[in-house]
Amino acid sequence: MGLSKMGSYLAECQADFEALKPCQVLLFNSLIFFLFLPLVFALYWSVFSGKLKGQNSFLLLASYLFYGWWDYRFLTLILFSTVVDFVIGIRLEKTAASSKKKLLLGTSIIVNLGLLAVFKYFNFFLESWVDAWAFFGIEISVASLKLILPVGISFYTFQTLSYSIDVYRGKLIPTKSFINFAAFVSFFPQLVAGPIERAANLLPQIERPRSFSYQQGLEGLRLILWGMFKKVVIADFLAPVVDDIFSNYDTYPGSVLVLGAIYFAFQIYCDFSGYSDIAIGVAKLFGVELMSNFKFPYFSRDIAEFWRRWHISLSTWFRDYLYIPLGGSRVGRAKVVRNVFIIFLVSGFWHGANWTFICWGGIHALLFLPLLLLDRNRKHGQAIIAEDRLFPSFRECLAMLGTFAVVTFAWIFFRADSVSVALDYLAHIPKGFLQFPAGYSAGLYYILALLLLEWIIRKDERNIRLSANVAIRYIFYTIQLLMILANFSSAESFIYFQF
Amino acid sequence: MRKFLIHTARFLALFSLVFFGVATFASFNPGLEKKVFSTPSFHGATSLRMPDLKAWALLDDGREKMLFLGPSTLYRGVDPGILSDAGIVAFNGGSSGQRMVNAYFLLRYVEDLGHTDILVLDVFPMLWGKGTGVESARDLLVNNPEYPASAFARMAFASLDVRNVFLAAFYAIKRGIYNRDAIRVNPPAEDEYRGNGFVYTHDPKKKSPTPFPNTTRMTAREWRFFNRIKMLCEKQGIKLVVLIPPEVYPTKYENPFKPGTRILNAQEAPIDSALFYDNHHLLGQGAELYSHWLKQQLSVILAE
Repeated sequence: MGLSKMGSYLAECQADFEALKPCQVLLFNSLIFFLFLPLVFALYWSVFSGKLKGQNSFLLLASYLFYGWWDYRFLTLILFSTVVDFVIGIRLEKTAASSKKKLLLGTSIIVNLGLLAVFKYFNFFLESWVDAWAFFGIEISVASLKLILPVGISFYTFQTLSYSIDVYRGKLIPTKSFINFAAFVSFFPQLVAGPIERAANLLPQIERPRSFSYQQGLEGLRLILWGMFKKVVIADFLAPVVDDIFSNYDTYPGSVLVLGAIYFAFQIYCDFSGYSDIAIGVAKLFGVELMSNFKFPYFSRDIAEFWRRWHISLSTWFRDYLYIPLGGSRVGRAKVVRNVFIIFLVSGFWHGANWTFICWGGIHALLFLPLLLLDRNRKHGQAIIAEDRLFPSFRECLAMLGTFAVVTFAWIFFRADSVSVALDYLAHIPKGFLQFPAGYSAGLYYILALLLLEWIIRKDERNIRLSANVAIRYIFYTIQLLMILANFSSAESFIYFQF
Repeated sequence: MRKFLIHTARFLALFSLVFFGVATFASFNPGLEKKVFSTPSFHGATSLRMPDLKAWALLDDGREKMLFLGPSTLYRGVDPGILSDAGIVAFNGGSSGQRMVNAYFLLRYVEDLGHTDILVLDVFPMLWGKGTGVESARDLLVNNPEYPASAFARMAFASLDVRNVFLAAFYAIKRGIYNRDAIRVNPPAEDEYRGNGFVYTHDPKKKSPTPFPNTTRMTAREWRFFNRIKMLCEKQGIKLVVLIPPEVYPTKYENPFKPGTRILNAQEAPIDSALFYDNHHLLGQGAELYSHWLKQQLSVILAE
């Protein structure tokens, strides 16, 4: 190849690369991310290896590029939240007066929740206010704000908020390095959909030199593959079926509606836990351990166990920063009931400005409350079902099925467009309930395969190692990768990006 | 790190071998191809149009060559037979959902084979929004017997879609190594391929035309690829005409084109709404009328 030909070929390659310029959220399952990740990984461990400042500055740059790919203007929001909590953290440490400390903490809360209130909830409150007046026959005309919901705002505001609260409580020494703090807030693997990290876990890891670990890297790749499998092969397969059933529920027999709810239960699980697995896996590639977000929640034996296994980073956030400050369960019965309802309703509201999410939270509160009041909420502790056995007992099977049934019931409210639609969906279930859902059963094979695989690996959600035999593992990974590639749709978005 | 990279590379090498094995089996087994890779479709007659496009691109008989590129509004709307005469030979290179990115790589493909004198680019404003040309790129991989040509492989990459890259790898093996043809799919009753890239649409189920409510604006990505088409045209000495296709309810758009660009606005073409089968796709009779109108307008605009 002559020099001039090579030059023109390189110019063409550069022009082709230009085609990859921003146009959408940099999804984990997009082609651009598959180019972005190896590049950042290579530079991180080659150019910046052993240089803490360089590694963190580079991580920050990569994270801002990752987020700015979607819309660079919203980087100003992250930067604003970062600066505010960084300054507040330092001021909190220097201030001795309790009133001043409270003022500083209040500022952090107002700024972070204010961002959420404006970008996520403003129109909801406005519309609810108009609806409330309309209920009394008074028509009010107000123009709603046309605001774009910044991707990941619910996640990073909670992360920065927890930092300020921990510093206020004296549980954390604030960092003096802005770069380190900004890298903690914007760490790209978990920036847009969690896990919502605690400063106490992530910040010390950002602040100490990181060296590459073979084992950690391997676990990371396995998690990425597993997460991608759940998202691309299962969640994306179920998504159009669920959309169809929920959109046309009034035309389907009850058996299909039940199947639709079950499919949604697995769609949202595979979608969100898939994202979390990829995030944890990617973080491992950079020498960082993120907290677990899911621990096989559909193997739970009661609703309390479900909440110890589902979206752990959010439920523990609410436990530590809302439930316990309210008195938790160490107050009178009436206050315990109040606290449980508050935490579940707020958790529902966190998912979005819609009454359906609030209803979903309310149902979970009603399901959880009896266990708490009867002091049976810690019955199963952290132990996984059938820990030392191959199969669960009949009793355990019934408990798992029962828990899954009530969780799935609540998912109907979560998925429906409105509360009335959810109620109507439920009302349609008895009609044709015993009719065989012909043409809709394919998803069940995927679900059964998933449950079987999860049962095998249920002891460690952070290390997806199917067998000790290398050959079996290689076959498993090869099949997984082939299925991922064969099932890739056009970069379907992740459900939890909208929250 | 060394051990990690070696083990990862080892796995990827093994995976490539398995992939090659599966691709080999699928190349000779349409059932497996459909299951693992894709289901070919008639999809705007791509499987019939692309060999014709290649023959047209290689044509060099001294006549001026006019290429049309654009989405389904084009391949159903413009009959190149009407536009061709003693001095000009036209071809309709439309494909489903064709965006600027797809049009750019199709033009590259044609220019790799021969030379075009005039490019008429159908820039349907409804396709100016977000999107990466996935649909058309996939169609031009799966249903195109002329793939693998490097322009289409690059299009797959530029469509930013993992699955398209995966399909590009498979069809490169199937057609490049084993020389297996694309699976031919019979056209639906209402679609008749009449040569030169044109699909004559017989009466399908008519849909009531609905206007697109918003004013469309070209995204940065579309604009970037439009500029690349323009630059390629300037480099190759191709006259570029931008064509806004006719619609029952014309889509409103913010005009992104600079003064001096040859624009032909067919939203003003006198075509009765009965000759459309929805808001923007023409029936066969509509296409005939439109093509005659286009011939007249193009002769004026190209003479300027």
